[in-house]
Amino acid sequence: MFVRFVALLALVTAAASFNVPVARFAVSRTSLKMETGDAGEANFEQETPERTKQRIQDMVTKNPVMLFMKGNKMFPQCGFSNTAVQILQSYSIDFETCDVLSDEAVRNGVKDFSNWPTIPQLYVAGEFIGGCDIMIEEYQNGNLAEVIEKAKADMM
Amino acid sequence: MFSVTRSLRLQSSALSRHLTTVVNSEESLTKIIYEGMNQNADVTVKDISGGCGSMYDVQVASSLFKGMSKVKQSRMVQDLIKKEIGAMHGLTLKTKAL
Repeated sequence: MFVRFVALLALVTAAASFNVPVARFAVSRTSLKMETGDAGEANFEQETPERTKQRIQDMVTKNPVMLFMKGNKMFPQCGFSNTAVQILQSYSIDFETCDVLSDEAVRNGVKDFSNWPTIPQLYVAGEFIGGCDIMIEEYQNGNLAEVIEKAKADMM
Repeated sequence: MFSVTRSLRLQSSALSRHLTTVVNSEESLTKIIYEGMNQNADVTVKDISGGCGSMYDVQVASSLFKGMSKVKQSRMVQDLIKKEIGAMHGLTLKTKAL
């Protein structure tokens, strides 16, 4: 009886070492996103809207020039986002971007946060400037340069 | 045969009552914005999705925009077509104060 048990144990151990999925009762840390709630309890939920809002608020506060876009500076994934990036790059300033295509929570959350239905969205010094259309117009009439210069000066 | 097609037709109309899909068109969008601004606006809506109704170019000029920031002007139009924008893939919106 005992011998059988040892044999079985040896078999399972051997199988496990060969990565054969014999008895996978353990849940790997990477497969489930575990978050602890306020009481320290584990909850397997998605990020709450409040948490998303906080993240967005942090992004627009910490970064003087913050662009929510599709894709990133190197690879914009949409014509409007690309235009927004080009405009900002023409000012030779540092700016941060958030790729909403890889952050579904922010993709939806920023639309509520800004009360604006489309992406891209530009924030300068924590203030919502507008989307691509407004950026183009303000770029052409020089207003955007003014706003950015002021933010640049405040950044120093 | 007759009864089968009739029951199918009844089912589909009941189904369509439960599904309220927004179907945009240049005419419907123009009307919503024009009426929403008390007929005090020059509204031009163009389907720029090649007739698919998924992307629009909207231009609105109105004296109602006077003194408003660009963002506020845009928000005013967006609020009028909030539901309609939800059914779009994208839109360009230019506003002008008269």
